[in-house]
Amino acid sequence: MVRTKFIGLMVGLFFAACRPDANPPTIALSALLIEGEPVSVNVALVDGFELHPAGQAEVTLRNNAGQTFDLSVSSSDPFEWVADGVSIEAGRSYSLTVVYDEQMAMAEAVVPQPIAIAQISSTTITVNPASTGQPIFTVLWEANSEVSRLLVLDEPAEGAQEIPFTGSSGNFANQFRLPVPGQGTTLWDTDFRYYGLHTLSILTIDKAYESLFFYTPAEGGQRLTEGVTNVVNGTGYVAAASRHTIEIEILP
Amino acid sequence: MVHAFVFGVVLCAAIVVHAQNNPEVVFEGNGVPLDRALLELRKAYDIAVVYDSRALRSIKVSADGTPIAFEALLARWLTDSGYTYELLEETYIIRKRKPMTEQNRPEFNVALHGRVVDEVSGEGLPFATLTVMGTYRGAISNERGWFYLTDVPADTSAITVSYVGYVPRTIRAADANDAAPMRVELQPARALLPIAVVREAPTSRIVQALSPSLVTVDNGLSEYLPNTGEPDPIRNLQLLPGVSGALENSANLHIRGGAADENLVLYDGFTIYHLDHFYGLFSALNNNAIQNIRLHKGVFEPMYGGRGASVIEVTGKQGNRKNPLVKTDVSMLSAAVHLEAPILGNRAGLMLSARRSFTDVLFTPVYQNLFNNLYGNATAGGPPIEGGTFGGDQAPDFNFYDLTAKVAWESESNDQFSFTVYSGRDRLNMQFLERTRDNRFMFEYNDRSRWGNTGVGARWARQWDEATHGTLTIGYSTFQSELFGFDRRTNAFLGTQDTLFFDRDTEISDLSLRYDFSHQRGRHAFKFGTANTAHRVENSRIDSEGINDRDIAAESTLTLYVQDTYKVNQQLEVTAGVRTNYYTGFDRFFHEPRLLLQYRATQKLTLHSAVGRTWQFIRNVRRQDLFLNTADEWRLAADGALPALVNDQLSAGVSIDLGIVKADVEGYVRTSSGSIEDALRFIAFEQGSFTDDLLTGTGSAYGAEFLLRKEAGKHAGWIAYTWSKAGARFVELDNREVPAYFDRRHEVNAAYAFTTPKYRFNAVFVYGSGLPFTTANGVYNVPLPNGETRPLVAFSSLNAARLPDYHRLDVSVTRTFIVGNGRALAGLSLYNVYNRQNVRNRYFFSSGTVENELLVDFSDIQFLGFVPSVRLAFEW
Repeated sequence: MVRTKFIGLMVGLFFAACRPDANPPTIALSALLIEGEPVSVNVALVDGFELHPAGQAEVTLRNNAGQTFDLSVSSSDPFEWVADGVSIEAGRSYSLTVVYDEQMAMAEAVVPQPIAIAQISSTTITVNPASTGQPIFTVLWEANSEVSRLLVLDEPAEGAQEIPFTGSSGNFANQFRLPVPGQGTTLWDTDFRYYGLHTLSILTIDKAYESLFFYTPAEGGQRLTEGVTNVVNGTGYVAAASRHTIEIEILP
Repeated sequence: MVHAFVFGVVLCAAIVVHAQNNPEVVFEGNGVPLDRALLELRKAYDIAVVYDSRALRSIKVSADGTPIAFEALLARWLTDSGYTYELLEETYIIRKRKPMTEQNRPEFNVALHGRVVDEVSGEGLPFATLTVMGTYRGAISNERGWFYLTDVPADTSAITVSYVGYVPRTIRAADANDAAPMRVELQPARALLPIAVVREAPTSRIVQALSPSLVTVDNGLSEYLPNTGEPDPIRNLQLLPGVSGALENSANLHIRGGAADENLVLYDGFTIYHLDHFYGLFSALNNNAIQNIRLHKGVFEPMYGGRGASVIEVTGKQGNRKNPLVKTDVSMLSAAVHLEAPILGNRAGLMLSARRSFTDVLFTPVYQNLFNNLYGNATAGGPPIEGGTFGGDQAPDFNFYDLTAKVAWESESNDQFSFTVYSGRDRLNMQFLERTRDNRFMFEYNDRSRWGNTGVGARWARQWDEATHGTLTIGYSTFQSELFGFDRRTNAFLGTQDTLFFDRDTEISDLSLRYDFSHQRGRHAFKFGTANTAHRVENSRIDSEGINDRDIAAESTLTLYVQDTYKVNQQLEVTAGVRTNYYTGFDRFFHEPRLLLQYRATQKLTLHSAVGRTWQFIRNVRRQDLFLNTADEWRLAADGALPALVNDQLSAGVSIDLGIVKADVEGYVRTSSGSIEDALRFIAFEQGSFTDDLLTGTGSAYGAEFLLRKEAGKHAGWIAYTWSKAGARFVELDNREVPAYFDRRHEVNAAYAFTTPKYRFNAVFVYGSGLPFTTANGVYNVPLPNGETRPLVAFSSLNAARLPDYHRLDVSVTRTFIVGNGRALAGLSLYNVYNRQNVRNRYFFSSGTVENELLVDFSDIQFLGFVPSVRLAFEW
């Protein structure tokens, strides 16, 4: 009897041992939580070099005020998760967790305080199409070594009249693709492409997020590393920012 | 599941029924030799009887099959035979009947003391086994061969003396002279010189379990087992259950869920930190210089400690006390010479053993193949490359050597002094060019490396009386590793160059003083001792990424231990004790209680169990280095920097003697705290000191080990199967269990030997299920507010994927010749005969970008393929 039990135990042990070790997909998420703006998070499962929606996941946003918000899949994009009625507050920390099939990926971000403008030049500017480039707008802000500033320019809606520069124009995208160092910046007339109302966003981002802008993936032949990510047990990036917008009118 | 297994073993122990004294027996036969009749009764009724078979063979006995009490039957058979019996502690002793006078009264419960020595060289044989035939009683000789055997039932008792690799011998207690210690000479079964006729006797050549979790493997097997060019006693250990053998790295012993640094290698009292030559291809221990290797795994006696998983105790040869001996070895990689000679009127022996590779002057095909593979493993980083290290004008300047010298001297007053020096070094200078297959990238490598160990040990051992022995040991050991590299990569398409340089040095040294004392009294064998070890570790690194660190640490450990092995009765033996360490790094005491039980249920069935704790204060940090295999970063545990490792282990097992085959089953459960993991790729840390990117967590391991062995005869060998699981949990990694990088679920090791008078054929088969690795699941593009994206490689969880299974078959054949006054041995070894391309690791690299999409490819780092090698040895 005892021998039978012992053999049974051994057989059970063997079959338990034979279960394959599964390699679960990697949870990938990216989000930029901006003060006062709706929450939108991209969640994907990376498996076999393909991206899959994480429909069965639980995606939760918590803040250090003890509030918890459950996110749901957007009706328009299976990879987008949104939360209604959430107001991102400056100075508060947020943690985003994604639980999928007993895996949990998590990232934290602290929303920086909004920018404090120290000086700003006129926002209604007349541009000369014959110009080959001259400064037309300057904004200065109070120094803060803990954060960086990223400039984003929204151009007028489709159909706006293009500025007939003779040389290159619309240089903004190239000029400000990386965070701006220092305490201010200057825009040149050739940074603009159209006449009309532009919205300049000055995003205040933390230093860790800044590293993502400067990150360059491995060149051909180089061994790969995971790169910069603040997602524990996953990949991607969750950042927080505050946005200050300035409307700039470009006139002929 | 494993818990259930452990309890199952304990349950088996509980149901074993004790042998009953004076049972009613049935025997039927006419004119049967008495020794044969007693053998049948012993088998049938599990009665403990001690007798001289040869003496009783001439006595013929009969019985008609009627049930009768055993004592009544015995009394009837011994009537008028000149013999009688006594019952002593559940054992019947049959002895000659003598008139009972004070002068010739037979002695009972006698004690024997003496020494087991090598018949050829006169050296003491450490840890030989003495067993009183027909009983469960026995003793183990100490590291000098001295033994003290108590509770021998009578002076008529026969005692078997055995030692791995030697022909066993039976002695009689009556042969002992009260005034002088016994001298028991054993003949080495593997002796080449002097030319000896090995007696036809079962010789334990393969493996011998002495006590729970303690294994001795005949290091003479290294001469015959298949290898990669050099006899390697450490690789023999990798063929045992519970010891991972599918890593192809002599130094990387992973024992019962322990990392490689959890094994303490003691060579005549000093520590060896780096156990291999040639990037792990084979052990830095010269097989010629070794007398004995014992592996203590799991829970070991309190006198051993310092590491979490095992202690590998190496005893060096002392030198032939009778005749000079010279041995030379030539392989396809190195040449070796070994000298032994008696000095100072045979009271002392000298041993000198040296080995050096000729790889810096002669590039044999085998060497080129091995070097390209091993060096590629150490530096792998990118896509497959054309060319090789021997392809151009430059060739690697690589060599290794080891030197072992020992002088041992014995006084007439039972004092023994020995002095051992060991030095082993590897050295590499190389510069070479490689290019990718598409000629897009060209690499220039410049490497200078030195690594090696030096140790000095001095011992004074004294046999104070027949039951008391003491050993004073002073040991100094130092290990140094210097690694300098300057690499340049040229992009031929873009015309750009980037460079990388690094300089990483590690030096560790320790000075230890210890005294071990043992005393036997009755059924107790006491051991106690003390040791003080001063450690100094220095790590420094400078590299082109701006790191410039130098870190020096010095701590010491004071250790006290006390243990008692108590033979409760003939069947149960208990070893209990505690080891206490005072470690200056934490400025407090650390206690290690241990308990080992051995229960001999019958002569064929032994149950054992052990529970204990170990502390480890010196750690080897395994970096997830992106470019280099820098395994030799040693660190001392310190408050707030690096934790000490504490392991608690429970094991239970059973050994069954099935006649010509023996079986062992053992299960274990281990928990640990202070597990460390380099999370360079997984957690973002600030640049700073060496240890700031190490995670600290808790580990667990459990497993079951099975061993089936046939030790003697023309056909011998063993099959070992290990099921195991090892991992750790880290808060920073969400407390999920991360498989250890050596976590291997299934492993099978089989060794086979076929012996004829002139030839020995050996085969080894190794199978291991896939090792864990961190794979890339894909690429994820993170969108940025400025409209750009950044491609991040989505790696799996740490060690979440498994490499392909590992397996290989090795075969060898050796032949011995008589050459003049000496002997020669010629060996052919075929490693990985079917050229299995086993995968050691898998790396991912970028193969470019298409429309801003990062393309990812991978490269497998492979273990050795087919490696033939030949070896010649001469001895005279």
